[in-house]
Amino acid sequence: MKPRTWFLLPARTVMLLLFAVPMLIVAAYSLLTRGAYGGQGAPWTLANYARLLDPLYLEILLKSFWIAALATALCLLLGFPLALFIARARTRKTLWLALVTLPFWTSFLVRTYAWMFLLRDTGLINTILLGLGLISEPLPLLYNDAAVVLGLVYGYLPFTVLPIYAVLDRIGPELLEAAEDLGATPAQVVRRIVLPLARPGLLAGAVLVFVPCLGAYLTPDLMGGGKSILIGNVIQNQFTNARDWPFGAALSAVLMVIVMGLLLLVRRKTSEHGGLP
Amino acid sequence: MPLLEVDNVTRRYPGHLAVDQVSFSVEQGQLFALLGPSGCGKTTTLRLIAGFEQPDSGHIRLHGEAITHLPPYERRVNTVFQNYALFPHLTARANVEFGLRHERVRHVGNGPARDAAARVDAVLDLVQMTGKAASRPAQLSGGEKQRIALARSLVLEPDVLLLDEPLSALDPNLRKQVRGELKALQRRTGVTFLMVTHDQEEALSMADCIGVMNAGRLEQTGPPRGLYHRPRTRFVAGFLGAVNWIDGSGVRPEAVHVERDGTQGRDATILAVTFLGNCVHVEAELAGGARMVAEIQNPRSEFRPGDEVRLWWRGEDEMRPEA
Ligand SMILES: Nc1ncnc2c1ncn2[C@@H]1O[C@H](COP(=O)(O)OP(=O)(O)OP(=O)(O)O)[C@@H](O)[C@H]1O
Ligand SMILES: [Mg+2]
Repeated sequence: MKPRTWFLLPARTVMLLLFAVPMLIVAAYSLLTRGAYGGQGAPWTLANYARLLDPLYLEILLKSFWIAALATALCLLLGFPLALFIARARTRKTLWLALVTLPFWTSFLVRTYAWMFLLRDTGLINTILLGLGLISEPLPLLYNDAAVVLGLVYGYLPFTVLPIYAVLDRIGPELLEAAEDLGATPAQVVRRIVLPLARPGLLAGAVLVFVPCLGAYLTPDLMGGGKSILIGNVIQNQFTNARDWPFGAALSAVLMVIVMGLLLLVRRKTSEHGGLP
Repeated sequence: MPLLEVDNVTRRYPGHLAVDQVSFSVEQGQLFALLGPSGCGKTTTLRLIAGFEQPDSGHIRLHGEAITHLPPYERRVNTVFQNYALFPHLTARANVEFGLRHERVRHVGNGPARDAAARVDAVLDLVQMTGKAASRPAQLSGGEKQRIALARSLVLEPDVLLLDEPLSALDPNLRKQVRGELKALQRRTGVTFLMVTHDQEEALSMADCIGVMNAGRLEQTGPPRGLYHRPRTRFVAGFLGAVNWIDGSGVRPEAVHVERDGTQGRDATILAVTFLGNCVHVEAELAGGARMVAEIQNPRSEFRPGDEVRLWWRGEDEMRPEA
């Protein structure tokens, strides 16, 4: 074998064992029949996929897309200015970047509970507002779609800031000065120079947020209460309470195919322009 | 009234005076060169005029009106950056078009009357880049990038074009040629150029007027010949060319004559002779121990180390800087 093949061997093995094999197992499970007391076995069937056509699941799938898209858009909207600020900061860049990644130092679960402590009816915010007499009833801050979006945006914001920062940091300051020199106001510089050059970072950030948001189950479970069920919760439920692994596997497989389709689309969009807009 | 006036401008960085009470003015149609060694504040001066930096004190006026605190996009000056700063995501042509879209903001009178596309065509033709209009900056050579950078600024017909070391990023072989092209371009367009350089030959050959900077201060301003022959400081004398310092006055090597059996001048012994193709450098030691270099274009006789000779120069070739 050539040296190149040897060097790639570990990476290929890892990819095969950790990605390809599990995906094949999921695909296989999705074609099995659920047993009477959980478990699964013969015969092979497509019935699990047929169940997906139920409007109930389509609705949840659509809603999941909508929530993930909204969270992604908000992450980009918040992440871009933040990344721009850090990239343009003359000093303390490392400090700002450290602060962005600081939340990763504690568990996501703990941080989600902290948000719940802030938002629930007897939480900090409502208690203060009630105490000040600004409201007479607690505001419904938790257990709704808005709370889920908030939780997702909070959790995944760093994933947009970092890739956008990486591309912005490479834009030489003289490009921005040149644009201003040619008559562009600061807002026009952002629109005509910074945004187009940041596109690869924006796309990477969007993918890094959208994909996990689409499959999220912890945040909707905790912050959405029972009211905001997303596709991730349905899948989780099949593998736990419902004990219907084949159906859960079918849901996962469909989600996977959709995500891969989207990734391919994004990839074509970026390579079309040679990485540039 | 001068077109551009820099009036007693100072720019301080923490613990460092980058530009120290600099004053000079540039006339309409001139090519003005700011000349000085690395780190003397040339770029900072240019950036103050472009509006990327604000002076701590002093004023900058264009057509007599203060522009000291206007943002860059409201000044009728444009910059050609040292590394050209072309927008990588735009074609050469789109780079040139970039500023035209903002033009009306800058001056109302000259607005959209003339067709933007025709102006871009004309300026691309002027810099001979019509054939490469569709290329991206990454596909252009250094010289081509520079022409696009020039075109991008010239299309806006700036009152003053600021050029920061416009030739330094070019291949040394290309530099002399581009020097002439740049000067011709300036003549043809009639645009006032303010150019920064650390190369005295570049400044002397191209500029109508030179300002010599040293450690943040402007030491002297004047036409190339005046500066070369009548420098006001030792620094200016030395920066513009080689000087022999003798008894407090300076003599340029090319003004020193070497004779084997002359009656005038000072006795000297030749230490070294260097053949340079178009001339010969003769290094000699005077009777008192001082050393001088003479540059001789057409040596009549061949000098050798150890030869006893006489050195002389005209009184009017002696430079007496004040400082
Ligand atoms: N942003 C800055 N912060 C602190 N000091 C600076 C800054 N910009 C420039 N300086 C200092 O100011 C001085 C003048 O810098 P400037 O860039 O104007 O020099 P220059 O004459 O253009 O030199 P060169 O020929 O090397 O380009 C230098 O000593 C430089 O270190
Ligand atoms: Mg400089």
